[in-house]
Formats: sequence, structure tokens, C-alpha cells
Amino acid sequence: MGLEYYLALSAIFFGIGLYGALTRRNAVAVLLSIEIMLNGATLNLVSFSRFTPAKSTGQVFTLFIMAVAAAEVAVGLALVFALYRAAKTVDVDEIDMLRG
Amino acid sequence: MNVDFTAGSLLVPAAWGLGFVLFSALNVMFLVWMERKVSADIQSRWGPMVRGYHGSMQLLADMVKLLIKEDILPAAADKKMFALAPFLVFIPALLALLVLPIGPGLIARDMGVGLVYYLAVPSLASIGIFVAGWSSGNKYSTLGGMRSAAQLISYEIPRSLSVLGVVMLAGTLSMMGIVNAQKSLWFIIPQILGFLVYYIASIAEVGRTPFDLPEGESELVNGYFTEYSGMRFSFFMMGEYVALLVACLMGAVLFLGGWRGPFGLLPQLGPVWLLLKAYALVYVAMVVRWTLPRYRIDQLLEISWKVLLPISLINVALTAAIVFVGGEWLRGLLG
Amino acid sequence: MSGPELVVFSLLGLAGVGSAVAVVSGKDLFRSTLFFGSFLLSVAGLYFTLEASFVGIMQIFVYVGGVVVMILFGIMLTQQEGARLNASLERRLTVAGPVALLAGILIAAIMTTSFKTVREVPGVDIATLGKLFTNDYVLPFEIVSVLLLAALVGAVVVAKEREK
Repeated sequence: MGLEYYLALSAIFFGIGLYGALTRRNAVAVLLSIEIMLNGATLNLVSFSRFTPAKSTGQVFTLFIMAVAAAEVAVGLALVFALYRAAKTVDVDEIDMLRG
Repeated sequence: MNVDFTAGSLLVPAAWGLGFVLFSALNVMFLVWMERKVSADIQSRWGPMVRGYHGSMQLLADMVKLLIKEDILPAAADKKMFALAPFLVFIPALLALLVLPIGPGLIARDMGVGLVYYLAVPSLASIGIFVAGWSSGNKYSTLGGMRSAAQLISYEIPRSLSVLGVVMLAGTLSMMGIVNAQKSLWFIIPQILGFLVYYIASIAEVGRTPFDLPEGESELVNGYFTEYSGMRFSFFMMGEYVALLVACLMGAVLFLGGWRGPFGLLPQLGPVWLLLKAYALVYVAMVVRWTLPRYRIDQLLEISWKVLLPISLINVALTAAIVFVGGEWLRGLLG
Repeated sequence: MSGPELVVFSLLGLAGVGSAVAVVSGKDLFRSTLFFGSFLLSVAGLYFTLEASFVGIMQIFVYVGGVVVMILFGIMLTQQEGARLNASLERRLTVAGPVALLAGILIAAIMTTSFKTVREVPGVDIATLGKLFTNDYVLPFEIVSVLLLAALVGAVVVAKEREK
């Protein structure tokens, strides 16, 4: 059956994205990794809507996630710009202004 | 999903692909010649006259020149990206032809979401422009690439909204369905606002004067393709002309009845009508290019956000109200 | 999955995994973003194989045409010479182990579970999706539009230069 293959693939995508989000130092690169994780999740939803008779709710939610992800990237990049202006770096390991 | 790898089923897409490449190559040759003639006419010149009838073979000579020119790779360029960018600009415009209804029942792929496909795919060229600007290793190119991307994104919105009225009247997103819905009335009449916004936004998206800021030569040398020459340069030029042609072809499909003749005249001429309508739109775009000065970047963004966007929103609201109140009457009118 | 379908799935899956690995490990952020674009395109291709053509098109429209271009802007405006992209090798190894374990457990769980699947759920046409959006999910739909507006305004406020 096909469903398992798609689910396994989306788990792999999720894992790759998680690895990137934890090891990248550039804020924009972290954002990219998070988007890969989100895509793993949406692939999961769409696969279920294809292989189970559930009124294609999975596709609806995937579209919602896309809208939210676009908003997330917009706000995320705005934060990166503000950060760059304030700290002159986008290295997430060097930004420790709140550390006492 | 039904996938079929037999030789016969692969032959049809291959034939369509080859047809699209040939079609766009021939049309680009004609468009370049036409542009030179239109500009010459406006400026009271003759334009190219030497090669062939009224210079019609001029472009062949130009192509030979471009092909045998030296291929220059700037020392500061990112070589792989630099080589990739022309394709990234050219291919999206070509891919849009996939959903173009050429004649009755004649379309490469009549997708249920054809119109969204057409809105989504050509705009991918902005990534290619970005790559070209970035990889050239030249600040004029980079600035030109950024400007172009900003322009594409901001004109994407009014352009997408402007066709919503068409979707509401036709009740479908399939390109074939939209042409079929215009049997008795072309959508340019009820959707004149939508058409104007679509046309202006499309000219801006393909980056032609008065919206050609990405390559404003007086301030940015030549924008994102400053460093390109020879064969690679001609790819950008082809991409630009194919994008213009596709925008005009789709404008003819969405608002001017596609392959239908006026008043149902000569239906057997389908594809010819489509080309005639598209070239009428191309001609207007060329006249505009050679008669109007270039906008400033702030004016450009202002036109998009403060003029085109409100107009297209008003158009959406008006159309929705008309469809809601007079649905029956409208169906009778549209047959 | 039968032969040809499996071939298409494997090709798209390989392209997706390859691009994703390039995104999280590449040394050049600009290239990483372009690989992110090709990752998104292969996921869009997977959506097409799942007969979710509208979702696939929206993936191209919103993600590749919108998000990728936005991120390219972000990179151009914050690029620094010689900035290091990756954490130290030690940290990468400590992260890679647990992440690989997690993905392994997930895949093992997926492969051993028997899902109640139906082979032939007909592809959803866009009219059905539209009706779902305006009937069953009209409240989330409106909330998402408010969220988008809030994000738009918020992004402008955050990114705008403070006046002295």
C-alpha cells in the first residue's frame, strides 16, 4: 500500500528539518529548516486525505498551514531584520543579550 | 495517479513540448522584428530594411551574431549559478503555455486549476532574475535583481485579483471552461476594470517600459543582465518576449473570448483568432513602451498598491454582488 | 503502489530528500535557499501524485513564488562575509544521533501500524474544497485571514526603522 511510503518520507523530511533547526547558526537558515519540518507535516496530512475517506479535511488543513507558514516567514524575517539592525549579526548563537 | 510509461504515452507530451519551443522561438523572432518596426514607425524611421523584405531577416543575422559572440564569465561571478539563471528565467514562461487553450478541444493539459497554474508558474521567473543578479557579482546586477523581485511580487497581487471576476462569471478555473463561458459575451465587457488591471499588471510583470525599472539603463547600467552576453543574453531576451506573448495570449483567453471569432465568425479559424487578439494586445504594449517615459520606483509601487489594488478589489466586490443578485439573468446572458 | 507509480514516487522522494539535506548542510545560504525551492517543488510533485492538484499549485504559488523570494530578500539584506552557517562538528553529531533515532522510531511505527486505508478515494475537485472552506471551516478561514492581516501589519512594524 502507498500510504506508508508517503508517511515514512514525511517522517524523513521532518527529521532533516529538525536536524537543521538545531544545528544551523544563521537565523534565516533556521527558518528554512522549520519550513522543511512544516512540509513534512503537510505531506502527512495530504497523504491521509488521499488514502482515507475523510472528506479531504487534510487538504483544507494543508492550505491553512500554508497561509500560516507564509505569515510566519513574514514575521520571522521582520524579526531577523530587526535583530540584524540591533545586534549586527544573525548568528543565533551569538545573540545572548538577555543573558545575565 | 495513473502513470503510464509506454512509448505512446510519452510521445504526446514530447510533441507538445517540442511544439511549444518551436512556437516560442518563431514568435520571438517575429516579436523582435515587430518591436523594431513599431519603434521605428513611432520615431519616424524606417527601422531594419537591409536583410530580407523590410528587414524581416534581420533577426536571423542578429542570432548568428549572438551565437558566435564570445561567452564571457565575469571573474567575480558564481559560475554555476550564473549559467543556471537564464534557464530559470526562460523555462517558467514556456511552462505557462501548458494550460493555453489553442482551439476547440485543443490544449496541452486542461487542468481543473488551470488559471491558478497560470498565475503561479510564470512568476517563478523572479527567482531566476534574483539568481542572475546575485551571481553576477556586480552591484548593479544585484540591485536590478532585487528591484525586479520587489516589482514582480507587488504586481502579482493586483494581477491575481483582477482575474477573480472572470472566475466568478465563468464559474470555473479551467482555461477551457473560461473560453467556453464566453460563447455569447466576451468578458472584457462586464470585466473592463479587471481587464485594465490585468493588462497593466502584466506589462509591469514582464518588466516593459514604463515599468522597466529592473533594467533602467540610465541608473542601473542594464539591471540584472548587465554581465550577460552572447547566447546567455539572448536567453534572457527570449524569456522576456515569451513572457510578454504569454501574458497577451492569456489576456486574449481570459477577456477576449480566446479562439472564438467576433460574433461567432469563422469558427474554423480558432488558433488564428487567438493569435490575432494576442498580437493586438502586444501591439498596444509596444506603442506604450515607445511613447511613455519610465516611472520612478516609488511611483511604480504606488500605482500597484494605491491604484490597481483598490480597483481590482472594487471589481471583485461588484462582480460578486452582480453574480449574487442577478445570477439567473447572468446565466441567460452568457448562454 | 505499482511499478510506474513507485518510480515517480522514488524520484520525487529522492529529489526531496537530496534537496532537504542540501538545505540543512550547505555552506552557502543563497544556494541553500535555492535547494529549498527545489525541495518545495518536489513536495508539490508529491501532492500531484496524491491527486491534490490544488494544494500542489498553491505550494508553488505561495511557497516557491512567495516565501522563497521573501527569504532571498532576507538573505541579501542580512548577508555577512565569512559568517559561519553550521554549528561545531561536536554539536552536529550530538544532534544527529537523537534526530536519526526519532526518525527511525517514527518510520518503524509507521511501517508496523496497519492503517485502514482505501485504495481509491476519488481526487477532490476544487469546488468541494471551496465548499469546505465556506461551510465547515468558515471560522478557521476567517481567523486565518485576520491572522494574515495581523502578520502583515506586525511585520511592517517590527521591520521598520525606529525613528530617533
